[in-house]
Amino acid sequence: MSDHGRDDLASALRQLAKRAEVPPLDPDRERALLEAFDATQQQKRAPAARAGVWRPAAAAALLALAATMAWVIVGRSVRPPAAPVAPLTTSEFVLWPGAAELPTFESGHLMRMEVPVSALPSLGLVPPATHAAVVQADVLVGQDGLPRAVRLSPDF
Amino acid sequence: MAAGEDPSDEALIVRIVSGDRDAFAALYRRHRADVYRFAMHISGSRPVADDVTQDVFMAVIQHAGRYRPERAAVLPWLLGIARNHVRRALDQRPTVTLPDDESAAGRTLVVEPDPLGGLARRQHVLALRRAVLALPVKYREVVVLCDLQELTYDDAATALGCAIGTVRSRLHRGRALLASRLRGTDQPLFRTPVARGML
Repeated sequence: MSDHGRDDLASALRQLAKRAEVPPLDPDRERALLEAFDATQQQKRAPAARAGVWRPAAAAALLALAATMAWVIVGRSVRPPAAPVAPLTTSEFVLWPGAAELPTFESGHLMRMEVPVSALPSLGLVPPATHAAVVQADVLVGQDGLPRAVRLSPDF
Repeated sequence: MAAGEDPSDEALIVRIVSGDRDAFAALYRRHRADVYRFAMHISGSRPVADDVTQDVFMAVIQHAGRYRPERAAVLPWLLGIARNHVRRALDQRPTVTLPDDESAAGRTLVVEPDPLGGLARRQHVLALRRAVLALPVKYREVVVLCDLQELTYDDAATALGCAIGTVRSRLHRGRALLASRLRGTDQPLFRTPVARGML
């Protein structure tokens, strides 16, 4: 190729590059990515949290066993106070039960579905103050079709 | 970092690894267009470019910790990821949608002082775009990276995972193929002085 031809080609390619239109930022796509980011961070923290609590949990189990033994031996009835339950923010995603064991989340999509209020506690969600039997929830489904995280829809 | 100065790409990656959502959003906004253009030029398909762009940043969410600043700058790293996703998409979709300036998506309302000249320019751009898309992928990649996205040979080599010498030789061959294909389409790009500056 001559210098003249090379210059023309370079110039033409630059024009082609300039004409490549990029669609404007899509807020929905950005929001989906940020939600995936949040869910992934939550998933990453979960194993660390589990690793951090198993030893205290084992110690607590041993203590509970010792207390039970003492109760049986001494014959005293001691009812431990109910553990306080930390309220959850209903608008945030919580890890789907068992999702921490699933393959790493790589891609996915959000599905909005109706969930019985009675099933919310088993998902780690606090039932809202409503008389409705079902509420709407957003489920983050991974690349394998398995759920990774769930939240109450903002407009449940 | 001085007040008001944008953080570097590398600094954003460090913050992303530590779970900084805003850093991820900043990186996405900064390089979304670069990734989209690359995918668009290689695939010739807007849906593929959209999906690849999303996939690339999903990969960043998952694998930002794998980024090694001593090996590559962030943009070539992102384009390297994009390249893998585009290739996968092309394998799954052997037929590509050629961009058509007359399609509804490409049609824009403009006031042209020289309608015939504008038409000629569009035809040349379309011919060039088709010629780029007709190149074998390995040549198309280097032409897009070096000539359209103006990456250095070094960065292009990083994105493609090959040696700089390979980039040079593929670029030389790719340009020659492109020139010969354009000559074959009767586009006067290299035949008459009129072509110079026409695009």
